[in-house]
Amino acid sequence: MNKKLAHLIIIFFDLLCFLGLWFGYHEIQRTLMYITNQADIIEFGNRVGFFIVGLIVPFGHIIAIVEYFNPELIKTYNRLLNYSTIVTFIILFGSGFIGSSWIKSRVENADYIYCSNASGVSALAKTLVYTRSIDICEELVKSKRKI
Amino acid sequence: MSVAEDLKLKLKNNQRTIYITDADDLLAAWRHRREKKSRSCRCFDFSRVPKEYRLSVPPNERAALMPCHVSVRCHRSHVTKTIKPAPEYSTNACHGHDRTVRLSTQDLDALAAVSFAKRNVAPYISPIMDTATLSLVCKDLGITGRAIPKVIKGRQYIAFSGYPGLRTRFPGTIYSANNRKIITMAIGALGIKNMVTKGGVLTICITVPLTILEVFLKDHHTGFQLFGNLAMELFKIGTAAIMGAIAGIAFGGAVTVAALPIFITIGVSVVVGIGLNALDKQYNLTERLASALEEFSNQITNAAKNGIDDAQLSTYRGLKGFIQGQTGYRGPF
Repeated sequence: MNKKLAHLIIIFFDLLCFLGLWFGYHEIQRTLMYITNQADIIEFGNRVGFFIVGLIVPFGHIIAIVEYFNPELIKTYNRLLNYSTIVTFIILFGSGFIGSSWIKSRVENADYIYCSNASGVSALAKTLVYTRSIDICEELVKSKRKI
Repeated sequence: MSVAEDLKLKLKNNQRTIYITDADDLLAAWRHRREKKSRSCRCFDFSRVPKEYRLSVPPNERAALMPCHVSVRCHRSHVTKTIKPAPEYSTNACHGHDRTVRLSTQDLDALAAVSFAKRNVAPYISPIMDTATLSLVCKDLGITGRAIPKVIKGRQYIAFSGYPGLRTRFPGTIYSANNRKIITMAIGALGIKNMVTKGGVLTICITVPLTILEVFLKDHHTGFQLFGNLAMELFKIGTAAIMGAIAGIAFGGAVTVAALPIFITIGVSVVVGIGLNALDKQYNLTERLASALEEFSNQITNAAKNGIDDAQLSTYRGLKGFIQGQTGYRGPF
């Protein structure tokens, strides 16, 4: 693949990852706002924190850009860069996991009840639905069945 | 309204006999915790409830207080109480995050097992396989291993940096891009494509039967919902895999570090998958697809029914005209 084309594609993915990161931040903020406002129903993805893993793309792109302009520098610090890539990857995955668990525990600590029948399970993630009471949960399940 | 009345009303609203049966002990536990004014306390069994507070005789000290538990929290001088639901509503929410529940096989019904497999097995298969490949690459090429794509006389090759003698899987210095070893180890564009395809196919092979099983085991599910779910699952898995592959191939062309494209492929697949799921949730795409399919089916059924009616009417009119023409009969039919 032509290097310039590769960089263009990577720029597209950079934008996509930043968009994902913004979306994840927005989701978390929305959930926290619902908790503060004591909303009846709170709905969020169980892997909402994993959007941060997308930062691996801009990180890799920085390495690619440095390699494009100064390949000697990459050769000199090759080991350091590879180790930092692995460490970054692990940190990002860890942060994603911690972030997702944190938001879930925040909702549960705010005395919300998990409404399993209204929650959706997908192959890639799970949509968690929490309600203030069992009655609201049952109403929600009934309304979803009507749809 | 007193606390006890409030609590009893809450229990009554749940309309579950089991709650009402144990309500007295629950109240006792709750009162005990409230008087203790601990910041966060949970009562799971009778061992936490002092004898003077108990209103019934438990079978043993570790007998479950309730199908679930009561939480009392003191937050900024406010005492808040929570009655968590029974396990059939949610095991996790019911038993709190600090406590793991040991479930026996009898407790796990088929639907729970299928949902568990769909949620915890299917999405991780592909990343685990990719990580295994990544570890093999890192082990053989080393952490600083570089794979440099080269085009020689119109043919694509992958050249490795470092000492060939130290490598076990790649003892040569240069390999054709379509070499089986290169493809298996997910190096180069063809390797990434192969890795993503294998992962995607495996995920689909696990997800589709699990989705079908889940729909069969669940109540209130229609065939349209099954098709809608399946279509969306396949779309999400396919899109995530393709995006991951494109990102991996682009990185493979831009950097020479052998392991980085594999990292990127895994990362992008995960993020795109979660993003698609979030979009699905945001815009209710699966439900909309299912309802659109249902509507479409209804339209076809109605059209067919109307068509049959029209055909019957024209046959009737034809027969009527024939009889009137032949016999001269003008009476009612």
